[in-house]
Amino acid sequence: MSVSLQDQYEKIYRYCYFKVNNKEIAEDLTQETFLKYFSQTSYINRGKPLAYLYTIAKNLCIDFYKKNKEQDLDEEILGNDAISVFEIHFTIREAVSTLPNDLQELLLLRFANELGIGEIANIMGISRFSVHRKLNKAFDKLKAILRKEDFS
Amino acid sequence: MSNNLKRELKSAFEAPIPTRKSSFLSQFNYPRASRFDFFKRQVGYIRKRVWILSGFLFIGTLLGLYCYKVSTSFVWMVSSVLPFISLVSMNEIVRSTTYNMDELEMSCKHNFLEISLIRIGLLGIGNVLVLIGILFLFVGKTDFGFFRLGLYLTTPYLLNCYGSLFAINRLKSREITYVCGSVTAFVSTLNALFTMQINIIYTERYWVFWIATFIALAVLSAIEAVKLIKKTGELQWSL
Repeated sequence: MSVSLQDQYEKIYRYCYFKVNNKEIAEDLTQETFLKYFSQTSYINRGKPLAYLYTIAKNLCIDFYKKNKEQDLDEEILGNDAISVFEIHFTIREAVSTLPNDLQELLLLRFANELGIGEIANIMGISRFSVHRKLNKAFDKLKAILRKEDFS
Repeated sequence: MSNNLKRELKSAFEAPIPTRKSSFLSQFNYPRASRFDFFKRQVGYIRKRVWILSGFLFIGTLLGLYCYKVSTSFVWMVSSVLPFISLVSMNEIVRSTTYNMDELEMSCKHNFLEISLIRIGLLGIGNVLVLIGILFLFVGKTDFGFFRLGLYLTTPYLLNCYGSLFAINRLKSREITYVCGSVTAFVSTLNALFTMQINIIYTERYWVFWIATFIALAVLSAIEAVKLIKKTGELQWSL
């Protein structure tokens, strides 16, 4: 197996949670991601397994959004867990949440899931240079928001 | 941007603890790595310099055959270089036996003896392929037959194998690589001097000498290889 299940479960779960903001749905999507990943046995020993895993997770989250947009469940799903989780480090979280989605995703992959620049580039389908540039952009924006705080 | 903020960023994406992780993972029947996958992984752990040097020797021989007329001197040159391929392989074996933990941890379900045997086997197959390749390049271009040419090329290689394995089995120092390097340099120089000094060394007159030396060295190398494997078995880990 090219991807360690134990290591990746929580990272994919965190990624899905970031996308759907609901604990139960995030866990369902995580498990579905692994089921889909391992159903493609012809692929897992070749190519870029981590990028493939994240792509499945991303697509599942997009599908989830499409379905729920039709069923108009968005508000119900997104409202549930947001309050209970973000209590500590409120300022940073607030600052991060003001960033565009792609920059938030980038920060999650880089700092929460601790992926390399090359891996992030593969997952997001952009060049390594773009990853660096977007990271700097995200930091600059965060700095501007947190200027009055003690982080810069 | 301070490291403090980078640390804080991690917590900014904290998610609630997943509740169904252990039950999912315990029931999830994912495909396990096959024997062939294990072999492929082990090829990846062998340093690229082994394959690169082997490739260089093969290409060098090809170029030599293309640019120069093959003569007896070309045979001894190649046979003097061949021990260096064995040196790189020996170096790799020493590395596996000295710094074994990484590979052990990465291979998990396989014990050290199994990994070492596969590693030695893969390196051996690589060396044999290069030898056979060179032999095929030489055949028909010299006065020697396939078998005789094989003897001339592999005897110094075997001498180096025996010398290096002998040293690996008896010395415990981490600097064993230097000892193996010295053995290789000695064998290579000895081979060059020997064949230059005795011009008739590749003639029929010394035929018996080559066969006897080849057999003796092959047996001695095999004995040392078995000793090394047994020694590795003593370190067997049960994971």
